[in-house]
Amino acid sequence: MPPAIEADDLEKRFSAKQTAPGLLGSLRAAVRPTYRETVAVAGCTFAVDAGEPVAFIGPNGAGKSTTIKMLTGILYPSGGSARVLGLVPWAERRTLAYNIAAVFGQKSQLWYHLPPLATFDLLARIYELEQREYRRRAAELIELFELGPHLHTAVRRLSLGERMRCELAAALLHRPKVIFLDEPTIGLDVIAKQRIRALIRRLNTEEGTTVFLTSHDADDVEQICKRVIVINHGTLILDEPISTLKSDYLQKKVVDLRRHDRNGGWELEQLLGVETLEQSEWGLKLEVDTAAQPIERVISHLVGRHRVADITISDPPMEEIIAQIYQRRPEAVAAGAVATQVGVPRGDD
Amino acid sequence: MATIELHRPRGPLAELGKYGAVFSTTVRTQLAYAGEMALRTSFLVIILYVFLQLWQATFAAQGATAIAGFGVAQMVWYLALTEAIVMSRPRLSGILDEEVRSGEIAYRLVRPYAYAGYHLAAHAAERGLRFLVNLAVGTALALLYVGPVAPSWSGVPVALVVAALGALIDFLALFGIGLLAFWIEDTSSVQLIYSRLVMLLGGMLLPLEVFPEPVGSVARALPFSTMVYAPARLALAGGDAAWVLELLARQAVTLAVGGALVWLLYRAAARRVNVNGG
Repeated sequence: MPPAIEADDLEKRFSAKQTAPGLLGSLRAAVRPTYRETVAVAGCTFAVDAGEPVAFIGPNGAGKSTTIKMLTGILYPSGGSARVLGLVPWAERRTLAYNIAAVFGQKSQLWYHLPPLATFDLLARIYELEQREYRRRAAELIELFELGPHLHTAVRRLSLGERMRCELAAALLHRPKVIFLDEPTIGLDVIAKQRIRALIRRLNTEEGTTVFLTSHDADDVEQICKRVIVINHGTLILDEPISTLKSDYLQKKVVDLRRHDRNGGWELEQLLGVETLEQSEWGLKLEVDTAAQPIERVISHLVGRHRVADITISDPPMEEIIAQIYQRRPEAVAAGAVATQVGVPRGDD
Repeated sequence: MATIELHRPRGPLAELGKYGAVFSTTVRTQLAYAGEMALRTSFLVIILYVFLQLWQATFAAQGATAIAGFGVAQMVWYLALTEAIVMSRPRLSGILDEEVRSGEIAYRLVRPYAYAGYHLAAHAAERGLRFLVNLAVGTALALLYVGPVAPSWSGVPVALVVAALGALIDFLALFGIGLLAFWIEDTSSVQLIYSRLVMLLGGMLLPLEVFPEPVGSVARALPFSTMVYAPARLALAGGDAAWVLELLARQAVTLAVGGALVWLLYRAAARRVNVNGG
């Protein structure tokens, strides 16, 4: 089976008008505009097997969404090549569109004033589904995503979590072979995130759909994907199984605690692998290296000594993980530095 | 080596069906804006009343019963028809502009339909529905203010064809202006100029016969007159076969040239897509 997604030295450059500060700067920009070229994606090469769930992560502005938009045929690349399901996305966009789906967490594909069912009906026609097949598939997704109570409610009246489940169901109606998910859990509460992740996992395992996910949430990456590709400054800096990322970079957890009393110190001296990030009379923020100290022991230590009002455990932010990768892979810093910005005055184009 | 079996388009009927579905979904969503639509038509109450007063004063001052072949009642009916056409125009350029700026265009481009076809179906639905509402309200008001006038029964069907072709020309212009968002920061100024040209040179307020020369001849030669003046004129007073044929020929040429230009513009724009927000 050929790879579902192949990118070879894929590159995208944008140029954007620059305006200096102040009125004079605006006048100068109007008369003689200066453009700055930004390298959004600087020669990425990777392949994703059919049915593989892959996370494509990186900090803001790393080039993730630009890569997805080239792979879905929305953007033309500035260089390199790509194939999705054997098709060149930007040249065979419409044929590809019948076979893939994209969910952009910050944008909606549902018709705002109509119930989700109206969008489902429309998409069935757009993807040219046979009525019987559409009815069967819609019933399946409505049950799986528990959409029954929301089907006849205008989208504008749905909660973000309900809407997101509808978005995913809408994207899956035509049984796409590859689904591109761009921040599918953004803005959702913990319960809604868990449901969305479980649904995506189920889709991947039961239907063999290739999942290409971008997210800033380390839990999305960890719970959905088996492999992670990290991009920064448009350059790939890591491509490894998720298990390697977990053992190498995700072994740290952040513990945020609030207590009812302020008597006594925090007494953390005997805990190895624990670093205090912030501390006050009422609250404490710790980073725990779980390879040196099990998280359960830290929690029981704190709960045994203090009247705990609230406690949360989270992964370090994606930016910190990227920073760790950089610390351990200096060659990635050098590659990222190549993707710089160059100011170029030019005429209209 | 095994290959992945791909879904492919089923054919022209299925292709047409998807634009039909966009049309009907747009009608449904427009019905959600019924209050807004009713509010917009209330403007007709004012404008028709003001023009009734103006025309009555003008006819009295000139001591005339007809100006350029139109009496007071026909002038009011003419205005009711032209307003129904102009007020039914959706803000397509603004929608495209917003899609480009917000990055929503991404969802349009990952679907298996033609971007222009999608917008044409949605535009036709919105425009058609608004036109029917405006026409109903305009007819009721004209009946109330000046009573019935005899339409040209032979001109009405031709007027409908000319109005439909005129709406298609207008769509091309609005779509083209919307595509300019790929080159300029904000297309609202271009939209404003174009809309004013449609209103003024299209003959929305006055039949073109009333315009002084050479403005009248220039306005008659421009495509705007085929969108507004011509259908209203045909419905009320009809037209001889030579003029109708000339009108249809001009519309066909405008559609062919305009269609080719917009197609070239779209091809160039597609290479400039720079989806915002990611």
